[in-house]
Amino acid sequence: MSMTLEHVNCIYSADTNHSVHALKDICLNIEDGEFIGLIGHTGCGKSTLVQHLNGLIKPTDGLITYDGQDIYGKGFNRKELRGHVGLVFQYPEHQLFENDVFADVCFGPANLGLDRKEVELRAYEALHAVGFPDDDFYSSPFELSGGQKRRVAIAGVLAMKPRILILDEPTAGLDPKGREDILELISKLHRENNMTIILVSHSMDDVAGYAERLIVMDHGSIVYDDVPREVFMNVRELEAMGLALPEVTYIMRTLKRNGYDVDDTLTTVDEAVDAIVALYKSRHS
Amino acid sequence: MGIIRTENLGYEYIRRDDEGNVSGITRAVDDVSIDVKPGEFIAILGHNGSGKSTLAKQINAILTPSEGEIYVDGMNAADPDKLWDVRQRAGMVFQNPDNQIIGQLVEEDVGFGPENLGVPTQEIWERVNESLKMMQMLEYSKHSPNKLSGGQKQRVSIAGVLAMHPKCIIFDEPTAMLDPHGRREVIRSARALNDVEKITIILITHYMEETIYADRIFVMDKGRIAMEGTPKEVFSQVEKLEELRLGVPQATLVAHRLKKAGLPIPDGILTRQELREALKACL
Repeated sequence: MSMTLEHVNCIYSADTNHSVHALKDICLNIEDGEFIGLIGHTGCGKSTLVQHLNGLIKPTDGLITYDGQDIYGKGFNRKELRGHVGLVFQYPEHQLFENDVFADVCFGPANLGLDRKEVELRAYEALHAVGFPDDDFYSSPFELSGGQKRRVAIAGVLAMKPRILILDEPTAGLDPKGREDILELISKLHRENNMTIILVSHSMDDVAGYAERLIVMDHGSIVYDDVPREVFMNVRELEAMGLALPEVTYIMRTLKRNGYDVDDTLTTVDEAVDAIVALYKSRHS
Repeated sequence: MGIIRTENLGYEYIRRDDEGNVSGITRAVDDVSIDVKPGEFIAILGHNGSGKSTLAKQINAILTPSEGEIYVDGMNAADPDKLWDVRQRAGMVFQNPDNQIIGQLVEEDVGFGPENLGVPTQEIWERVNESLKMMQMLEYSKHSPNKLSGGQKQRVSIAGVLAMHPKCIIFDEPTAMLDPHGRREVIRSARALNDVEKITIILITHYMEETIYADRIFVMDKGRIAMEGTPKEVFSQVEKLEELRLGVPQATLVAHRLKKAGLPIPDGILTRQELREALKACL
């Protein structure tokens, strides 16, 4: 189910002297099964943009369509849209509230008006999908570790069976292993269920490792929209925006500057190791 | 004598049921003995739930130890009469800037700490200006903190701690919510305070890259100190860190993988410059 944004503008507190032009003429097409990384410094409009995608914020002007239909058109069911476009907020574990994990995950699908059996089946599947152990289904969500809480919160959104899953900084505050686990989980949902993923992140290493398409925002506009490798060639521009390159790309650039014949646009550790090993072998054979 | 010294420190979180009976005990800090010298830059690593923040909160006397002792600048942090002195000596900067900013204006926010210490008004303003200047935020003194970026808000929080003239600042994941630029700003500020002002820094973080300039790193696991050493020593043990749910800086990871692939690369590479030098030697 593709989603399009045509000339979307969002102005907060319009008609006052505090008005903020948060989104400027955004045109975007999101196809089925894409894995998109969305980056930009704090306050660039990322969160405002993703909240437009499931109808939480209405654009000041412009058109948003889901599956070809205007989401603000007559008869469009926006409640259903929120089931299709799942949004995992920053620090989603702050929204856990039920007595036990299972009840918390049931909350979303129950609100879709499904019957009890279907609700519980979905909750069960969602908790399984995030790799949550059966034994802890009935423990209090507040007694879990940070990483486990976040899994439960993500399961709560998965239980709505979204086609598009948007995650706003899903790894913030987690330890390195916890970060890797959550990213692997997202990647699995993408691979196995062909779920469209939009990953909002401040970590260049994360988006470089997982996203197939990278959108960079600055001051409410989309500045770059391309494969990560192409985007990360704009070094000066990205740094001026308060962003950075993946550390690996910096390493490769350092080598290249020192006269080694390597590709300085590589973005992941695997690629870098392969390239350097190949260079070493070519010089020692 | 160390600025922060703990002896067999332990902390237990006790859960109680509705009737007030003990239903569970979690030992968050277990037999920790550390000695931090004045002017040191210490980094504390550890997975979520390893006890880092609990340890930090005891240094700041937010929590009092269940067992053992903790001395801040020679004062017992568990002594109720010394509470305010301990907090003045050892200031704390938390993860979320929005949870620690209370003033309507940046200067008001920074003045809150010294005002609570009973510092005379004239001196409060001097301290506010001096702290904001150190954090390069003086031009924002009449701004509302709400409109600042994440990194700027954290610098205001740091200025607020500085205005209390601490000897030690504990940073509890100060960059977790920031973008790369904000992260750099905050880490640079911490390093500058250490270099120039000789303030003792304790930095708790999940970003390995931020710790490579520390004098010493403590790695915590299950409430205990599992590893201790210079960044070079600690990050040489890639597999052990992975077992502890941690990682290493990216340059270290690349170097480690190259070594495994048969390249003669030494252990303990931390920066891309060091990696470049190591490769120059073998390519």
